[in-house]
Amino acid sequence: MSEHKIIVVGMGFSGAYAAYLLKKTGYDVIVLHKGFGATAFSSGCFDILGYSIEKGEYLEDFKEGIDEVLSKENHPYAIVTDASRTKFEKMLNDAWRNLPEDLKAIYINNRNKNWFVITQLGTIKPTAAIQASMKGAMISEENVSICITGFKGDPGFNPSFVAKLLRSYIQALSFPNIEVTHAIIDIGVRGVEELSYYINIRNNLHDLYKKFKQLARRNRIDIFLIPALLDLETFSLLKDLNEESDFLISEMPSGPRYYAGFRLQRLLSRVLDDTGVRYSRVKELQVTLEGERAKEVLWRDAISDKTFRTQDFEAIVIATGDIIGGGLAILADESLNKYLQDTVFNYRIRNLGLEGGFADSYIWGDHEVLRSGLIINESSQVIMGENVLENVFACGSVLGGYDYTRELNGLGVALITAYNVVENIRRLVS
Amino acid sequence: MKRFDAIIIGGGVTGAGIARDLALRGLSVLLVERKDFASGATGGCHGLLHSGGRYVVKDPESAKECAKENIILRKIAKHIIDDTGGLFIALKEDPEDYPEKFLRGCKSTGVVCKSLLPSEALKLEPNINPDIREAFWVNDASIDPFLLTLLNLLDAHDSGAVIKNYSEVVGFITRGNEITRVKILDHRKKILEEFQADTIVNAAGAWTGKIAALAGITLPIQPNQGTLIVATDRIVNRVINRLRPPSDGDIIVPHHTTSILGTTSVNITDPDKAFPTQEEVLKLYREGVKTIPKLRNYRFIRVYAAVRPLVGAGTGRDISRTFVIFDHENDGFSNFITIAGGKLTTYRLMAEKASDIVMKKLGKSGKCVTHKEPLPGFYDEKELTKLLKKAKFMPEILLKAFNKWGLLARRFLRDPEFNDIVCECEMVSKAEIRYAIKHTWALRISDLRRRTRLSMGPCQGQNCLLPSLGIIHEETNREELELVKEYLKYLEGRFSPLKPLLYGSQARQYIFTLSILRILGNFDKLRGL
Repeated sequence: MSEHKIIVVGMGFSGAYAAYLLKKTGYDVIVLHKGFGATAFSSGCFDILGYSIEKGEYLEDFKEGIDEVLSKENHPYAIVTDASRTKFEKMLNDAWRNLPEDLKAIYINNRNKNWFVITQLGTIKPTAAIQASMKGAMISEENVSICITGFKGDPGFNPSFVAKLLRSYIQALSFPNIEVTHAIIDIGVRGVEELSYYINIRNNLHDLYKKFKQLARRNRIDIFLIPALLDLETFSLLKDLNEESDFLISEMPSGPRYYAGFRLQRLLSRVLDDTGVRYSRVKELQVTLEGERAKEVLWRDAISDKTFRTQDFEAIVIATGDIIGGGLAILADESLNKYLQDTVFNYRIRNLGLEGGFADSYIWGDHEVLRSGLIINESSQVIMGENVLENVFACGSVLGGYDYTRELNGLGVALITAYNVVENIRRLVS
Repeated sequence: MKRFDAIIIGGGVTGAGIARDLALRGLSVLLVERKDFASGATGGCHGLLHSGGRYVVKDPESAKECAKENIILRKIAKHIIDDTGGLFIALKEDPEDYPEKFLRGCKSTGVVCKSLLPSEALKLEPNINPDIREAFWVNDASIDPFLLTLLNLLDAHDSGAVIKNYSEVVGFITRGNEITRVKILDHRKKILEEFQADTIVNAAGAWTGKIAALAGITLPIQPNQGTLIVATDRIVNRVINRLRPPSDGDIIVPHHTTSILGTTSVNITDPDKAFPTQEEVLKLYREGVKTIPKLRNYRFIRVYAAVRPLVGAGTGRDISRTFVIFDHENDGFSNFITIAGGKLTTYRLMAEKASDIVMKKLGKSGKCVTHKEPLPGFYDEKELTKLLKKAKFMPEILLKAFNKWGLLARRFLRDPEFNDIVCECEMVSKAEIRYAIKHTWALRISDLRRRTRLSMGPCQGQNCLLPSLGIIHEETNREELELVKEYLKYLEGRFSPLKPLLYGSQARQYIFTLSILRILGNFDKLRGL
């Protein structure tokens, strides 16, 4: 009996998770991807729903905002759960439970409520699960003394300013009163890359730990917050050190100069390695449709530059991400009329009438482009024009109908829609 | 109350040039600028050191001035000039009789020009449209307009001039046929001050009309908007001009790490309301693509508009680009002059002529020396090579600093923070930012951009601006929330004129920056505070 072959396009969170589940089911899975996307550049937090557009408020309990989201016609959450709150909760639960153990292990999960966490930019954001190394960044009711700590030679992070900004932020938004101080540790290295290299050496880490200890004693500090500089192995070393002491060294969700998202991306590739999913980097990829089915996939390998084509597959999963990830592109014709295009099907998703640009109000406003993307049915099959494509599924931020930059639900949508894709592929194949 | 020989209104390159000229002639000088230096037409121009070629046919007077000043500026400001040279190229669609007129014009105005075969031109600049009919080489170069202004001011300051930015002239006090005092609103300290002066020079660029109106004088100044777009990378290594009568989108100037494409010419009524229109941007893009087809593959990082103070009436292109000095003796004030028009390239000449009149009015003697005194930071190649050899590591940071500041960079390169690079696109170090704030009157983010090129590179401030806010806060004690709000506004200002060109990787970068601020930064909450 030949194995059922599934092609997954994209290796961000949703693509990797779908590939992992499909492989576990027993299918032959190949992942084709173009390189890093939004997952790698993310802060590494697991957002499920952080903001209510209607109320204009951050959500302490994301269930308070779920009805609003489920009432939206094309919202992926609403589509895959039949707009049912119970089904949503069950799916979220199932999807989370089925995450690879390695991945679950690095997250502290709080799926019933959002945590508010201190970010490397000196602000506070709501999120449902954070990496365990960022535990100290959670705002709690306890009276703690926090020290925003940077390293000399890292010009991308200014602890004194971040601490000051954080204090104003806490005061202005009436978060519990936390004592915030700052410190700069000098370990004689320059630049972020050199710094992470330095910390990754075990002995250095012990020396560094001593410096933290001195500071903690002198200034009575409970938690040190540093930008996400450490890889997971190093951080587990630090965790051991943390367990022996009466203070905590923790990271903060961090931006593109740091490694919180890369860490998640790397873990995903490791999970695929361990489960035996093949993945390869491609330059170009084209799916040919015949009627309501994807018939042929053609791709050019990025390393060998060879072109491959196959008609031997049961289903194809589109998880290419939105514009940041490169799955969708805003293109312009000769007269600069702009339209959004899916890079896999060369399919114009919707002519947005983008001439004159899409940022019509200003950068904080609503973005039609961010809400645009592929539309699926309740079985996660892609709808193209009038047709439902039987063997083409889509998940993650390539989907339209929502704007994760405002709703703060990027990984949440990726998680649930990927899970739904897998369930439906199983149904299709059997 | 302080008394000055001359008060100069306007901190563009003209005002700065006059301040320097007069200070070097031994006068006590006050220069006031409403916003930051070079924030009007000076900062909004191409940064092109004209050979004069652009004007040889239609505006020979301007061409002559440019040709002469080009040579002088190469002597006194060599360190901030990128001697690229320039090409004039005629495409198939350009008027056939123009090249001949151009050659004749060059001869009669003294503009240096050399005829090239199309194949030679293509060899020099492989990215230009291969369909060229004729090509000429000229003596164009690119010059940093921000630093040109700043170096003039620093030199004036060294000679005793008082320099104030964020100081707005709000009124004059007159007695008889003289303006005796100038009322100035200091936006930094939020106080109203009065200064006495024997002469007043109005060099407020597009705002000269508004300043003259404070004394009840009407000036024939036509504010004229020019829009430019900036692409990442140096797509060409020489200034590329279209060989045709001056029109929209006919020049591309390689500038530091970017290429600047311009300009347009549209009359407007209020210089404070200059904003690039979609029509202008698309027009520039289309013309640019004709000259350099490869432009389609590059990312545009910025669009901006500035206002020229044209003298006289007309649709914009008809008005001469030469300058005019109005002596307001006839308007009832014997100690008040206005200078307007002109070009970046001729700023020194304008300053010299205006200063001569001021000297005459004051009855003082003293000759202009600005044509031979080099600007601060001037160096010759040998000195630089020596310094680079001595540098133990990262000579590229050093080189970049010298390209901007000349020998002035020596004032901050021994600072240990010189190796802490905040802006990786333009290699701006913490030390440089601190120097700019402490010694060159910088206050806001945009001031630092003008002085150091902070956030002018491909990321447009996504990675570098937040860390640099901390430095501004430390040096100026400005409130942190206020700074963050300024930052958000600054980003808005950078992105919103780009709208017509947001597609492809440009759109992706824009959305990426936006997402970081929204998802991680949660900054929209802060805006409302």
